[in-house]
Amino acid sequence: MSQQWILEATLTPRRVPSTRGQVLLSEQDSELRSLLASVLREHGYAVFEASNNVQLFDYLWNCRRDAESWPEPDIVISDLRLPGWTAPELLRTLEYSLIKTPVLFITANAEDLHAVRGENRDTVVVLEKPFDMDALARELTRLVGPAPCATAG
Amino acid sequence: MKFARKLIIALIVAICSVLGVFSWLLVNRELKAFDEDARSDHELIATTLGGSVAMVWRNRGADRALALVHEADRLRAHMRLRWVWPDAGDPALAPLVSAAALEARKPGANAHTTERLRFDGTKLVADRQGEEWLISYRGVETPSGRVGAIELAESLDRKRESSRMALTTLTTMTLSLISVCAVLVLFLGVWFVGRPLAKLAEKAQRVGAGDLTGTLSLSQKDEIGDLAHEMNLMCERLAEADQRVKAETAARVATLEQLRHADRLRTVGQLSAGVAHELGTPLNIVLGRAKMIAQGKATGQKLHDYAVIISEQAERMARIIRQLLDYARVREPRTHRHDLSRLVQQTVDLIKPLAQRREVQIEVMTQGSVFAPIDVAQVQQALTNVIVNAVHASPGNKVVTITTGQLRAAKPELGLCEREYGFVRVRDAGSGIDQNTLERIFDPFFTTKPIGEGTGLGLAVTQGIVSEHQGWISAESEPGRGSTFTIHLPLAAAPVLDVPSADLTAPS
Repeated sequence: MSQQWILEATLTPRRVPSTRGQVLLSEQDSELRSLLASVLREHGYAVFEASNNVQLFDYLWNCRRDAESWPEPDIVISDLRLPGWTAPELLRTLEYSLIKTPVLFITANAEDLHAVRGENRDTVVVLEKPFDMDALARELTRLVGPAPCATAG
Repeated sequence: MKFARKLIIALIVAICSVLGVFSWLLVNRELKAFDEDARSDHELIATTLGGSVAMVWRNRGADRALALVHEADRLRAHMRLRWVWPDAGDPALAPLVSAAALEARKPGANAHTTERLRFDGTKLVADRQGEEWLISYRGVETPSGRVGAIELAESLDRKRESSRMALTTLTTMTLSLISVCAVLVLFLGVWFVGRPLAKLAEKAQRVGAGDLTGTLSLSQKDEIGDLAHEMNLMCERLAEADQRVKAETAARVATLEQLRHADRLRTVGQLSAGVAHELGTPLNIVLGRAKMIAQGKATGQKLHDYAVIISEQAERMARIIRQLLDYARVREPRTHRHDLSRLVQQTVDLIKPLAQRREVQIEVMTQGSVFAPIDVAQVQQALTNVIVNAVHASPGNKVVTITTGQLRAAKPELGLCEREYGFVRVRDAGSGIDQNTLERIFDPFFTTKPIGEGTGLGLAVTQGIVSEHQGWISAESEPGRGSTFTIHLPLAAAPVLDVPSADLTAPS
């Protein structure tokens, strides 16, 4: 299933460049979340902040129903260590919710890293804590292109 | 020796009874033979002498005949011979004389009915001194027609003498037989029964005391020898079994050591993952904010805010490290006897303010003092962790119940021998814990609290302390009805496993 999913993701461009820049950010720690959000906004991305995975999947559910007010994300950034979830479970749930966006996981655990890398190489990226904010920006540019309204390089 | 004595007594009784019967029969026969001898002696003498006297009387007159009797009397040493006239009315002779014959001999009796006077016989007579006499009479018809008799009287003293002699001989024989038998039985009994039995008994005692070495060497080819052989075989088999059990125990302990080692490695792995995760987030925040400041992106109020954030995160990291150190620093407990119930009460007093703030009541139910060898500071820390958890888990207006007491149980992982344990049971009235969580609840860095509120080290520290005290902690939960944590601490110091230390080469 995941093989097919990669194929689709690479063959069919799903968006026009003008709508790029919507980031769905899910992080439990409020301090880190606000830091990441501020860095991303600085780089010109629109950020929706979710403090846990319930909010994350709520957002995804909503945007399937009402794409106007809930723009479909261009990238999902999520903490991998979520209570009650393993990394592969999280990935699979994302697949089931039919969101064909790249996913960027942030984690502090090498085991999680291997688990996710075994799943998928191209559209799933893992950043290991602690990471540099510039590295985050580089990964985002690589995965979804530069933000449309980037003010600073 | 007792055995030999019994044997001797039995043999003596047997010998005595056999010899007794034997001698009774022998003496009886002897007496009878003596009697018969005496009678036939009398018969012979009487017949011979009677014939001679009758002939002499007829040929040479009464004087010569009576002199013959006298002569015979003089020649016989043990016999008294004399001439008597039965019709003279000697009452002693009456029963021996046929009444009819006497009648016929009376003057004036019918000559045709003349019957030869029979006047023969023998009788036993006891005289006034109690001496027995055998007295015989032989009738002799004198030429005048008057019937006289020769009286032969013999004392039976000789007979008594001879029976006494027979008895003496028999008694001597019996006594010598008894003594020979006794010596023989004593010697044989001691040599063939007593000595080997004593050896067997000594061996059995040694086996009973747990010493299986040393074979019993009895060269006897009998039941006792067989018994000794069987005993040796039994000891060998026992020693083998013992060896096997020891080897198994050693293997078991070695496996346990390895398991513990693997467990330690797993814990280290979990710890590093936990540390990475716990420290990763605050480090990331510090890194990000510090870079912002360094790049000059923050000014004025923002600069201040960022600095505050950085110091908060640094403190957070310091707290994590401190707790980690606490966890790692579970040292060998310095134990002394202390009342668990009292310690629980003291700990509850410390936690009361926290509980009151959350409107949770704590009830302590103790069954008297429970003295156990504990490190008071460590156990208090363990108790604090469990009780604080219970207070946190309980919603307001609920009660946390703490019970202390003692019970007899076997440690779950070993399950070998039961011991006396003191226990502290903490029951909360929270929402309970599901099975998956329950399995991981003692893992370090496992927490169900929101990030930043708990490090997941509390119960791990508690478990570490309790295991250092040779005890264990168990958790039970019914979702929806609350959870129960029970700390078990041994009431006495652990017995040392008797295993050769050389076998314990677990990887370090």
